[in-house]
Amino acid sequence: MRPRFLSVAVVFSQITLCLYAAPVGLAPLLNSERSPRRDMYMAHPWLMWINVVPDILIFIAYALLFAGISWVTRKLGDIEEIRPWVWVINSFRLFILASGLMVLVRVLYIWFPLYQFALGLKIICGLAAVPTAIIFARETPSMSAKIHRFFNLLASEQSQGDKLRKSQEFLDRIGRIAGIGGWEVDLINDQVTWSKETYRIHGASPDYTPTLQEGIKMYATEARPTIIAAVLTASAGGPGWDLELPVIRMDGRRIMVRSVGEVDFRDGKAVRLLGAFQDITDQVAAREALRRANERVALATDSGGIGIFDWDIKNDLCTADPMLHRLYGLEYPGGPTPLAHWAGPIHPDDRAEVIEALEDAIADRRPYDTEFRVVWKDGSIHHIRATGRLTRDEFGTPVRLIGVNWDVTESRRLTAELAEQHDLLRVTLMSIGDGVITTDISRNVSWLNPVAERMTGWTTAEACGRPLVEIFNTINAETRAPIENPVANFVAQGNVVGVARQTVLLGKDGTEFGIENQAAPIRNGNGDLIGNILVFRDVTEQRRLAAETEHVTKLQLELKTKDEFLSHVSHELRSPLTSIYSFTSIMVDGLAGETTPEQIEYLQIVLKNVVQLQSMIEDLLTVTQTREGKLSIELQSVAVDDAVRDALHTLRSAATTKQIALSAAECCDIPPACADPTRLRQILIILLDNAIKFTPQGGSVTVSVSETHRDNLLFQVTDTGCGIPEEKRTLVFENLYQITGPAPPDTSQMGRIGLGLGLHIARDLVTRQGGRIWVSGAPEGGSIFSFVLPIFREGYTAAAEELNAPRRRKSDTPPAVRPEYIPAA
Amino acid sequence: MRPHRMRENCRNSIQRLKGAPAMTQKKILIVDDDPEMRLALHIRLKANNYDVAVAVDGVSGIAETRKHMPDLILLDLGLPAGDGFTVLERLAINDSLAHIPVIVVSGRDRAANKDRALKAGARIFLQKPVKNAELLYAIEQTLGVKTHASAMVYDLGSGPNSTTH
Repeated sequence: MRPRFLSVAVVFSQITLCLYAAPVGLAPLLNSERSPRRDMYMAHPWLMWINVVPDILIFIAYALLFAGISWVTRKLGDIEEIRPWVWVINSFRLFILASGLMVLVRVLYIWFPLYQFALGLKIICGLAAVPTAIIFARETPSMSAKIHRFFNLLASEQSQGDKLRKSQEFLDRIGRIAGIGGWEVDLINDQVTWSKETYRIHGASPDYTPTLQEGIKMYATEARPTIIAAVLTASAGGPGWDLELPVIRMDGRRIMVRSVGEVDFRDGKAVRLLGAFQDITDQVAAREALRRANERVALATDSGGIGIFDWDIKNDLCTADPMLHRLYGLEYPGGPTPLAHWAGPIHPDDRAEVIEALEDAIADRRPYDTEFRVVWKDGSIHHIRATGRLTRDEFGTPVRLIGVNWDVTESRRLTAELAEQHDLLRVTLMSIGDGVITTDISRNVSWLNPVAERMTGWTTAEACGRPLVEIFNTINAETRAPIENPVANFVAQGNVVGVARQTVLLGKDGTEFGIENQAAPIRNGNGDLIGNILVFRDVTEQRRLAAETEHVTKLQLELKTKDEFLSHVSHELRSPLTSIYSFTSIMVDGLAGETTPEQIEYLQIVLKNVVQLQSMIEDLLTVTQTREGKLSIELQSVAVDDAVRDALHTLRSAATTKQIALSAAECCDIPPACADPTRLRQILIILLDNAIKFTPQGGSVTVSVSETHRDNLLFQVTDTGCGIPEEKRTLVFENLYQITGPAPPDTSQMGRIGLGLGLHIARDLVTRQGGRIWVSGAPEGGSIFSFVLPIFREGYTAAAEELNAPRRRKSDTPPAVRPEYIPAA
Repeated sequence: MRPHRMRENCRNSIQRLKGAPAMTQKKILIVDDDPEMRLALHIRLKANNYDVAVAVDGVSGIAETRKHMPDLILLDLGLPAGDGFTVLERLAINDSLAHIPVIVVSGRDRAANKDRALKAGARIFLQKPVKNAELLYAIEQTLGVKTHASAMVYDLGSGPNSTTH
């Protein structure tokens, strides 16, 4: 309707222009100054409206024309073939506009003296209208055809809209059936369109108007960057997208969707996004479930080290998983292989057996279940257990053998080890020196080892099942009271129990054993108590020895205490004796006034006894000092002849009194001895005194010194006394020893016998100086006391000092006779 | 010194036991806490013509030494108020007293104390009970010859088993 009206308006306005403008424009030219029209206007002002009204109508017609052309032009802009004409239309539009404006101006100029100017314009308009009309007239047929076509186009657009609507419905239905929703985003107008299914998928109400931003926010937070990146890629000219993403529905439910889409471009610019949605939540869940199931199987077979095979018997194709290949030490080829492929790694000795097992399985003689060894490329041997199940077709023909293999190397090794340990444990318990009794949880005996059987007097067979208390009958050694059962103790306290020291085990036949024992619980792998073990040891002998040792230690301690007491007493006796000695000697010497000869004689007796007492005390001190290792020895070079002479001089008077010839054998060129001079003199005095004491009146005592070939000096004191029986020769050097045999006839003349410490001290002193002392029989019936001391050598002293460093030493037993020193008979 | 010379000297000492006059009177200080010991030594030394002074402990020992300036000191080791070693040290560090010879006469164990006493400045170490002759010989040696001799082994022939030194 409208286009038709429009074309009529255009034609009408052009005709009006041609018919009206031209004569009106030309009239003033003809009438010039005296134009009757002007006068007519002046004379009849109301007639002015005759000019004004049509002019205004004309302007409106122009304005309408301009608007119509503008509308058409925009519509036609979409149509390709009209484009070259656009410039013509546009210039025409301008002209129309200008014409309209001129008409409007003419309405105004009537009141102004622009009449002439207006006339000029009018003429131009009129002239211009002519070519326009001509052009239109010429072009009108094609133009109208085109316009018709255009209107046809508009009409077909409407019918296309119908089609589109139908197709939309079709799509919606299809979408609903398939669960696929579509959407479109017009980027230019920023409009988002959803299909119904899209609304349904999103759970949105139909009146909801989505926007692009909200559309993106529909995706779960973690999926947003992905979809945005995909859209941006596509917008930048990249490919469309096809993604599986989580979406949060309007009702908050989370679903998985498949989103596909692409971008439309116009003039290199993205104008539209198009896409489709599919709710694939169920498919994804199913797929996930399947994947997990597969994973579980893979994990089970993998971690269990189980390899799976599926042997297609007809085609001889064996499908196996990677684990099975690993078990055989083979590379995974990725596909089925013939059975022969698997025979390679099997140990040659086992191949026949495996083949037999397979044949038996196929022949249905027995299920496939065998064990064999495989040899890997690196030479290692693995034990494999294989089982399988045969599948037959409807005719009973075997078609497939499906089964599993797994590595049993470790379990075989463990079994072997366990058996070995079991043997070891059994043999150990059987052969152990301790008694072992095991009980069950209710403390009834379950086993005894041979030692326990011997000590208790029960055999395992007899004792088995009886209460432990009956078999393991223990009492306290001192109180004889039965001991609370150690295992009972254990159960009460919950830990290992060591039983008191005084425990005595009473055997069945009454035999007693001193024992030490321990009890411990036996627990299984789960830590549950399954019984008790009692281990005990026969310590009868140990206890006896311990008691003896204790006794000896006690005696030694007593002895030491006695020694210390003796030493202390001797020391304390010194002071009063010194006093007695000092003042007696003062009186004897007459320093305390006159004394009668008789008094002097008696005082001398006192003095003599005091000196003897002092000597005895010194002897005692020497002995105790020696025992305690306190005796000091200072080794140095000693001139032997001086020492001998000195000793002889000391005893000269005693020998003379007893009429004994005391002499030293000729000794010249004797090297110096390595000794303590004081101690050497002491030794010689002891030996000479001893010799004089036991030599009867008129006898002789001789000292001799000689050098032996062993860098030693041999000292010999020979007497003509009663001699010492051979069996007593070693005893004379012992502590407090005195000859009890025939007493020397002149004991009284000796004045004293002494403590019997002399020879003992002599031996100590000799050994402390690195020598030896012994006694032998003299040919004439007397005795020869001999001792050797080392010859002094430079540098020897230090070593000797070390050797003789003060220490408590046991008296060495000197040799009865040292052959090299036997005096010539 | 050779033993026969020692015996000669010993005989001379025995002569002096009888009170033989000495050429010059030497002064000897006895430092001992035992009054009996002091008395016995006093009598014995007087009898041998020595001038005698006594002190009862370490402190008075030093004081008496300063007072009398003796020719010789007989020093016991176990003393109250500063034992014998202290006295020896005091004497040694005092220039005016250091030259006075000291003979230690002690009941203490020889092995443990002899070296220590000699190192501290004593000339001779004698262990109680000391024989008269032995003591006099030691004094004569110290005063006459003034050798730094170790304790002399000596015996008066009183008994064969004597272990004194």
